[in-house]
Amino acid sequence: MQSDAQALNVRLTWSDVVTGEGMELIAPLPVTFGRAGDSTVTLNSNKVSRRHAVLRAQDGGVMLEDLQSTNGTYVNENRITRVPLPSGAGFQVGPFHFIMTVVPAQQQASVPPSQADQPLDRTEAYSQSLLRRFEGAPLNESTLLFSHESGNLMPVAPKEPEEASLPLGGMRQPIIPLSEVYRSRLPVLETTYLAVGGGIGSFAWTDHLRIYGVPAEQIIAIGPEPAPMGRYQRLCGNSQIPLHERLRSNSDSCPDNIWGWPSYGLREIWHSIGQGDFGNAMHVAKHVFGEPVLTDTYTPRSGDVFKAVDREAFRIGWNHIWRQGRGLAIRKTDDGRYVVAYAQTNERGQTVHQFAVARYVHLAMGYPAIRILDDIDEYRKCTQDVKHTVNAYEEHNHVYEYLLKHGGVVMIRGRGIVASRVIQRLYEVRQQNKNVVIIHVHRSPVPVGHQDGHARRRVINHVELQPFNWPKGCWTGSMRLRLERADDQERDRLLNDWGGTTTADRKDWQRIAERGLREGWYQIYFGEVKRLERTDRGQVLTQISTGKPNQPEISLKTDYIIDCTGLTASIDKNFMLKDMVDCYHLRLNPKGRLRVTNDFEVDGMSTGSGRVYASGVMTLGGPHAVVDSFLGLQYAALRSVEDLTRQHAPGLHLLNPLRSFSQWMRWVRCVPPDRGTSTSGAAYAGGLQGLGVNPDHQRR
Amino acid sequence: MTPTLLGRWQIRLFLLGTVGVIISLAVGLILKDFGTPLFVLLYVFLFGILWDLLYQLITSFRWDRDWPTSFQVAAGIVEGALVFLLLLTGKMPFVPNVPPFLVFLIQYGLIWLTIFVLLQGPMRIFFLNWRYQGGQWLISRKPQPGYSFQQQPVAAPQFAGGNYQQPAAPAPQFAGGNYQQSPPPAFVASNYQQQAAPAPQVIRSSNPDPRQLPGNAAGTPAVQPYVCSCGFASDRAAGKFCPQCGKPKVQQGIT
Repeated sequence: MQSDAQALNVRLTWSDVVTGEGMELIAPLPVTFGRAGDSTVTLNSNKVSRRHAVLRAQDGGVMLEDLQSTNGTYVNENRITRVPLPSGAGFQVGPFHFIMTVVPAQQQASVPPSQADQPLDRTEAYSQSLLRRFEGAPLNESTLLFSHESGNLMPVAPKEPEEASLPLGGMRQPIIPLSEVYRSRLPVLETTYLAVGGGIGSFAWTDHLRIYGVPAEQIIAIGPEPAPMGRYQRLCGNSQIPLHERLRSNSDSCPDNIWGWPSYGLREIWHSIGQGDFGNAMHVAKHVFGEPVLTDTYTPRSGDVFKAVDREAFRIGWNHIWRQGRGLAIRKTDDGRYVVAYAQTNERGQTVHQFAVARYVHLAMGYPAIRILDDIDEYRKCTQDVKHTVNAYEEHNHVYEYLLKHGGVVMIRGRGIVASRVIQRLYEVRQQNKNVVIIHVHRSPVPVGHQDGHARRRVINHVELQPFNWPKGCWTGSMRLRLERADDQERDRLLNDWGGTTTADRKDWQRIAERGLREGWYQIYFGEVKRLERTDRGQVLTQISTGKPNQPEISLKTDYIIDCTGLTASIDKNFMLKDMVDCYHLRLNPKGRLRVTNDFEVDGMSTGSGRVYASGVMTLGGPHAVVDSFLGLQYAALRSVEDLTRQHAPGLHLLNPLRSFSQWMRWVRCVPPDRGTSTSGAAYAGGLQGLGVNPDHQRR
Repeated sequence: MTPTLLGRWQIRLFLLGTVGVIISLAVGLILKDFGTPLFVLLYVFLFGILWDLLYQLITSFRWDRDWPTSFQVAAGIVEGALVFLLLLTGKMPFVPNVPPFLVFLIQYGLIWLTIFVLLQGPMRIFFLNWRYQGGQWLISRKPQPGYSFQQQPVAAPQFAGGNYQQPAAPAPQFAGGNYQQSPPPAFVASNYQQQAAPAPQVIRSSNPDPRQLPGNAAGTPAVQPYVCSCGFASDRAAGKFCPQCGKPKVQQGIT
């Protein structure tokens, strides 16, 4: 048996359902899968049986056997009981998709030789090697980072992660005396409320603080871009969502309005009627009232959202609150507050360090990087060709311009919402040039959608469908409460069952795919990409291992590859958060992100009366699933500001129904919150026109 | 808003108890008979409690656990029709005389329409938390299981004089952004470690009392203290406002 196991090792690769982090495991056969803790691969999902499946060695090959699991094991869309599995083939257990490759025994380098040489007790040595080998270590994923200067993505990932040099000799101490901060002679800002990040999360928190009564002078937000939606808007534009296209967001999720009313749907109806465009008004009304059963779900135009947020930013005095900078480190001070070191780029382009001292800090730094597929990253490094392989979040209009003129073959990787939108864009190009062919490559087919209780997610063309990036009940319904009340392990399980890559259930997208498949200009392939090569004619050759015995490997020649696999939010990629976790030994949540309480306070960071809160994608795996959505950021802001109100933090007053109404009336009139009279004429013409209100009547 | 069962019941109780009663009283005033409209309202409420159980069951079959507007409209029609049919039988207690269909339609229709409009938005203007809680006003905020709000001492690696470098020797292979310091007992796909770490070598609170830490203030230029009228001391030179209460710093502060 030992010799059998020596002969056959398998390499399993899969990705985390929720975070998309790649995982790898090399192990000798047999390999068991199940929810039980003693399985080789423990899978935390209600759709995985305690003992679900096993990979065994048989006749020199690998056999996949289902252990009479409730929800089945799938190979190529078929539920199986026992099949031989060729190297490179994929299979699905619950919500997890695996790719199995057979590796020669000598590649099993997981056990360091020095360890094996030690005269350890036999069983102990075995268990140690087991431990080392079976730790499914996440692959070190390739990413594109944002340039600090321009905010754009840098085409090639830097070799070494940028080591930001911290002031005060590296800020080694966990508690820094305030006197030392001043002694450094670097500029110091003192404030009560400090938002680090400066994006939508910071904006939502600031908006709540302002509406709960805090004056703008007591809040500072540090971020790289002056507009709260600056980076988001740029990524939307790059991923082919221009101002007139619609976001994947609900009508009631209004980042500019904490009450969510009037919703974007109502505003669009109102605005269309004002312009005499009754056709659009009827169209929107049909979607708002018919969604999602009778018609597709209504989603707002990105331009309308940006305009509305600009108006609210003006109203709450964001231009007085925002400071240009990039957070580097946070430390507790000896007077029970926090000091945040940040880097500011001055007019001459030099980076200068500064400090901000505050009692309450909010961290919402967003996605630190964009994930790029390893094979594409390697291809880019080898050939320096960043034109033919692009990430969907990069500026890549040259692809569409070339295709419009010359036609060509484009490969899409990834199956999320961005892929759908890129296909729609390519379809628009194809309307004008019929020589465009789209090849969609998936790692594995999706035979069945995720399940939870009686409910199952729909699948069309191997893509799971869902109006938003999480089931709707995660925002405001029973699913939100269930997650909030669950413990760590249960949260991990629920997230695995509810998460996963999905795209919107849009009839127009489905029509495009159906037509393309019928006419042959849209093709779907399954398999793991082995490598990319450049051909003499400047095309990209993709080698794919399919895991099918009759055709183990195929190669596809394409003009362009568009990587639509998405964003990454591993904590290691964010210098400041990694430093904070290291310095204070913070515990992380099951998904390896910041552990926050149900009020979004960072666990382990309180000092004196000071508190640190966090929101956004860095808190995924905690009490809330939808942390990176507009409404999720607002919810996190609401909970943390209410928590601060209960602690009698300065300036905050409880928002009882009457005060809530009067604050809402101020929003309607575009008057700054909690001030008797407006300071600057109050009416913000652009925003009010967006609401269909005549600004002249609003002046006080 | 995607309501929970308790949310549905609370919405029903609250809105029928306010809007419903007011409209029913108005109808009663016109009919000069308060009994019939109020008992009709009571039946709508009582049957509604049962209907909500069915609605919640339907919701559980929907992947998104939502309650689309079209369902809401259909439910309103079905509910009203059932109550009126039962009234037509004449066997409902306290309502001996069947109200004319038009009267019932006006009463029920007005109540339903008002509630529908309120639920679509205006409710949130008064109750900010309401929509996030699945329509519940009253909600039990149970403490999170296995979680302590005030930070407990956390197992930390060997801690030597402000050097926070992780000890190199016994550290297991870095797994999935997981900063726990003990080797995981078994691999779990989501890189989540279920079992508690073994007995730590050093216990250090992650929230040390600043007063107990040795200060290193010798030779530092003295910070000019400023004591605000709220009693909070801060640096005079930094900022124009008191960081505690936000009042502007005044010249006559205590030095």
